Amino acid sequence: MIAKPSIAFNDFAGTAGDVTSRSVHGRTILSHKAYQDKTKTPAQAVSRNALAKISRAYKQLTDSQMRAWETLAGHLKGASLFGEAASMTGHNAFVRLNSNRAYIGEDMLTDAPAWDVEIPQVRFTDWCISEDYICFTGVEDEAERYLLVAKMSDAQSAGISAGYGKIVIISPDKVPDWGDIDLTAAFSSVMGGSPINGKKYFIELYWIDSKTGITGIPARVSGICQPGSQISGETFGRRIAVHDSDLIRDEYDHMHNMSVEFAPGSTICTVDAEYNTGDYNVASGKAIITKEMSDRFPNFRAYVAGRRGAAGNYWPCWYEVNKWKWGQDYEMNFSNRGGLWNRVGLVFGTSPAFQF
Amino acid sequence: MFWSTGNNFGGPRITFKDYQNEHEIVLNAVFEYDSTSAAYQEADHLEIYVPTLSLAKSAITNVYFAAKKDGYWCGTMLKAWIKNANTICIEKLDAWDDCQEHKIWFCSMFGTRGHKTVEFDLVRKSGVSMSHDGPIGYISNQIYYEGEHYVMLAFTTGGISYGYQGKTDQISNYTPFPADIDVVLPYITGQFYYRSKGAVMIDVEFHNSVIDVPALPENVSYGTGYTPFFYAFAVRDGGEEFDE
Repeated sequence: MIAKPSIAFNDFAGTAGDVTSRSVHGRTILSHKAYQDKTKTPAQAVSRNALAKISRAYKQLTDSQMRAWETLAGHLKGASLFGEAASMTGHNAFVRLNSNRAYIGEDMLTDAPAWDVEIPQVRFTDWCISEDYICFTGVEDEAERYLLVAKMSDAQSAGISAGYGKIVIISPDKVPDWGDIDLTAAFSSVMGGSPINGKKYFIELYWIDSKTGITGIPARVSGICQPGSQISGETFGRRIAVHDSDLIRDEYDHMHNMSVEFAPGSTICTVDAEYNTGDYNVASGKAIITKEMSDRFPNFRAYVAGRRGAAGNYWPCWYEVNKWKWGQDYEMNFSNRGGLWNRVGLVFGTSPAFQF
Repeated sequence: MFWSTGNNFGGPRITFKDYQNEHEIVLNAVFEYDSTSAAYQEADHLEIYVPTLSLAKSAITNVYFAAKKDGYWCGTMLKAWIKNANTICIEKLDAWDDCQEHKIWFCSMFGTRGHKTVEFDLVRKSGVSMSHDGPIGYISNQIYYEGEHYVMLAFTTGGISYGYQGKTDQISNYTPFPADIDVVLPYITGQFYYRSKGAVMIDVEFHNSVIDVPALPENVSYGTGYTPFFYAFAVRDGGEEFDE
């Protein structure tokens, strides 16, 4: 038999089974053993790979560069520029700002940026989280150098009030799209599903200065997944727009970076899309949309221009863009009507939407 | 009609013919600029500064672009958008930066996005049956919308008739086009020039209820599938002026 020492009553720090003991100021503190979360979001993958590289890079800085980072750290720790007031060394500041920049694809900064910058706070007028839509509206545009970072938790019990420790970055570089920050696809991509009715979600939004990596004070909200506005409870208005995430990718996987949207008045259709029809031998890019999406707008035709890609010498073209039901499919077509057809190109423009 | 107040690419003062309301803007303009200017070289995209527009921002639309190579205007479509109520932006494509003379045609509609409710009011195309009396080929794919303030016209033509050299053409509609249109627009001739990218374009005049097509360029080539076409929005002069 092996005799195990008691971690609770002996002068011992360590782990036995699922219990961890540590000595703090002469007192023995017991806690449940912490296991590392094996979930790894894309942002975490970037961070974990980049952190070691960034940390090592600090040692390569000159003395004057290190002094500048120490100076910056001294100013940052009281300013809550990272959303939390904590002591910070030059090394901390270097790693933190450069890992922030790594999230958004920026190169490493070796010279400390100016510390006296004011990062705006995210402001919005309404938001919703339902099973098929997560969106903030009325988000004010900021200068081009600012990108919006969104963090979200996975589904939590409705009674939980402190869930911000569970949030992870789901999108590091959003910019408002006509005032909207749509997190639906980002949530699905990172969490692997959709929000669940009745569950609670915690969300944090903040701006990051892409030039410096300095972040603003976060805006935090939490809400129960349900239809309608989280503020008024009323129906949450939704744009009539078709994007890549609305397409059913089957044999017609032609359209990419697709964005078709309708505006009121005599209805106006705006189109911005790329196509690559591969071996399909018809001068038309096809996209299949869901019935739910199709039901949101009538069959229509619009006429917009575009061009072939660089390999096609940028030859100009014009296209009919339409939506109709063909067999069991709800199709959108981008059919070449004039100019030299090529299997790769761009369709972009604005047109009245015509009756089909 | 209004005039640009400046630009970031060393271009000229530009005269715009316009129709504007709270939902859309239609613009016609044509201008040339020098691509060797320092201002153009430094610009990431082209910006044209204008008096306050009815839209504070627009979705992507298109303008025609061409560069002059050995006497032929060859070009493509560029993206354009309203960045703010006083700035129109145009994509900068450096594929023709070896040519000094550049030209841009606005015959474009600008629209908006971000509307949370859309009551659909789809419009009907207007009747069209075009004819011509010169060398451009058979007119097909005819799309025409005649609104109170602007028209939208798009069509393709077949191959150029034998012996087209030096011959002009005139395109008319069975029900005459409105008489209050007077703009210069590009016609994509379906020709290409072996030393340049893009399609050969020429100026046509949409006026007096007809489209006047000048003599087509000579010594350029045609290929299978190179369909000549016309696609443009044209402002009607009879429309109401926009009150700023």
